[in-house]
Amino acid sequence: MLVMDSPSANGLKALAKTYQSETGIEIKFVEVPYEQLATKVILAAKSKQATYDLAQVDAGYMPQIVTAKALAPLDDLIAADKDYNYDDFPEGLKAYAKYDGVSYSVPLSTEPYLQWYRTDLYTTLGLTPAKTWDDALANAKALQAAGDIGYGGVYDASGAAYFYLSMLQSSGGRLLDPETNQPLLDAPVAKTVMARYLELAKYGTPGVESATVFDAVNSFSQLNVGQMILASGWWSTVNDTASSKSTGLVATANTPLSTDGPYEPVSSLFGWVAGISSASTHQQAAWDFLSWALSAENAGAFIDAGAPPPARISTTSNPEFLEKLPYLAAAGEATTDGLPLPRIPELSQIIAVISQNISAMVTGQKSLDDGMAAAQDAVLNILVQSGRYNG
Amino acid sequence: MTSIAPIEAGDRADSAIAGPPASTVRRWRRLEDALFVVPTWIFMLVVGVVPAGLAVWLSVTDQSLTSGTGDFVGLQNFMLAVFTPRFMGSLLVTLVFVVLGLIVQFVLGYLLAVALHRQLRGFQIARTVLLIPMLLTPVVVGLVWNFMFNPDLGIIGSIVSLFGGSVNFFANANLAIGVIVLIDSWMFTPFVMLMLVAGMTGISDDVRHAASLDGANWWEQTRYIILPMLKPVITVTLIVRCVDIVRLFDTIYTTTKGGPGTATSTVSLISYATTFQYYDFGQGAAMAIALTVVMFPVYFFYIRMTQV
Repeated sequence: MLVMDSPSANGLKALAKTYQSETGIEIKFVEVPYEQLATKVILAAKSKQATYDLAQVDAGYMPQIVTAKALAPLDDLIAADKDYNYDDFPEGLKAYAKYDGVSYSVPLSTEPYLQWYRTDLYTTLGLTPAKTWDDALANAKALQAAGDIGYGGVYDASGAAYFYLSMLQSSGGRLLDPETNQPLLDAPVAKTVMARYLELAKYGTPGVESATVFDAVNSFSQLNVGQMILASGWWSTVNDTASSKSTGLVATANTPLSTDGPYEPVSSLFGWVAGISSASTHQQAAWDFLSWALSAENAGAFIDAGAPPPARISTTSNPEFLEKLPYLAAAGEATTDGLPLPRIPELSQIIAVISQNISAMVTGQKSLDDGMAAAQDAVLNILVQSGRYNG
Repeated sequence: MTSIAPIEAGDRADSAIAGPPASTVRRWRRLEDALFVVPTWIFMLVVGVVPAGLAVWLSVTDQSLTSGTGDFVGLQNFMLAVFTPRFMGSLLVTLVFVVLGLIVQFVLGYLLAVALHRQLRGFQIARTVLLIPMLLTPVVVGLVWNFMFNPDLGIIGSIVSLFGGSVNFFANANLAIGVIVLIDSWMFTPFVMLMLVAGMTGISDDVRHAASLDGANWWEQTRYIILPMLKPVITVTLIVRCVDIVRLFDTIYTTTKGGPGTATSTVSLISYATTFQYYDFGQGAAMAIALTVVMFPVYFFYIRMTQV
């Protein structure tokens, strides 16, 4: 199985040992850096080499891999496997593992963006988790006034767009028109949200203008950062007693929601999925392992291995699991109400150009108006070139 | 003592009748010579011409890992990926790195070479230390410098804060460019130094002594004697460094990733992203070919100017 070094991969590795002792079947794991994960999956399938039977895939890039015909459709295998009990997953999560109505993967980890906050700082200052983005801004001001860091943001030129687009979706905006795929970064809500996103940088750590998600997580773990928006999958990292000073001082809540735009404000859904290589010659055997490892019965073992479990309904409502992973309640809600970023193969390109423009705006190279116009123009260009939007 | 018997006319005739004609012999010898060169040509074809030809072919097809069919599309990739503000901007960034990198590395490399050539005290040890950066992997170097310049935890930020200041090198376009030039120069100035020292070793001390007797000071000796005599070495060194800087990728990828905005986004970086992140091999190849074409006049200009 092709994996990236991550809590999810660690969970699978731990379960694979049990699987081997029970069945005698050995699962070999090959770790590659995140940037190479999709490329390896695609190249293996394109070269018709059954190098990998299974692959861990970032759900956001799954459409890109599927259009390269690198993942096998799983609907028949899922339907034939009653033990896997696919009905135990919320519909939104099932849709997340599909492309064009076909299941090319199954949920591995479900990691919606949540609001993370420091309980000790909030208690001291009498703050409560933000319900709206205005609340989040007010909390940031209060934290900064008290000498703490108001908001841990991500503004680098390669990944900032994930966080901006998440804020956009939770403020009633969308990146693309759901019906026509027309880019909507020229809508008033997109500009309002960007202004707010840039405003929050003023309450960030020193050097926040170039902060990556790793910088943000590190700051949240090491410094007095009061709040930030982050995928739930970082829970084990932030609460790692060996490397984090925030262990036991962190809680999560739903993403703040605001009604600045015409669409329903929703939280954003991210996470890993697992798929079977279209070139695999052991597809049934690969499915048997996947089905067993990600079954409801193994959710506890998955959590004990430090991995965020697939958000089955039975898992996110299990009191024992909720005690171990308090964020599961919010994750469970997000899986029913949340929305992924647009499921199109061009997403990686779009993320790149929007991130570059956010970076240019936050560092003063471009004004808000110029940056938004450039981002809209770049996204439009990508979609027209690919034929995704015809104007 | 051996005696050589004169060749009789009859013998010559016999020999002419018995052996192949002279033109055939010459032809065989040429063929024989060519056979010795064949392995080199095969090697050149396999590692040079075939990949370059494949890149040219890819640049005129819609080859993509995700959606393309590999059909011939003419110059469409060049229109979509090369004649764009994005490519032109990254080309400008690349040229900025080339100009700044060459200036910094040549000036520092020359000064270090002079010190080494004059065998200043302690410089033999310094030479060994100076060569270490060249031996390191660029990715590792990039990551280490990235950590040092990290605005939150980096040592450079800590030093700046001792003086009451604060600076984020990755949030300012000029500083970010400076960081990349600094890292590349830290790694490769020793290479320039080594090349120049080798060149200086070939210049006789008598020449400098003669100039000194004529009253030429250090700068005049450098300007009118040393630099002109080092011209071939300097040319080769700068061309090698120029080509290397144009291909600069690892350092940028591990530090700024092209930011802030697109301030450090070079052609290599966007070509990599287009090819290996968006899987558009056709457009990625078009960018690479365009960069090669852009660089040709630069190489010829260097060679012509320096008359190597």
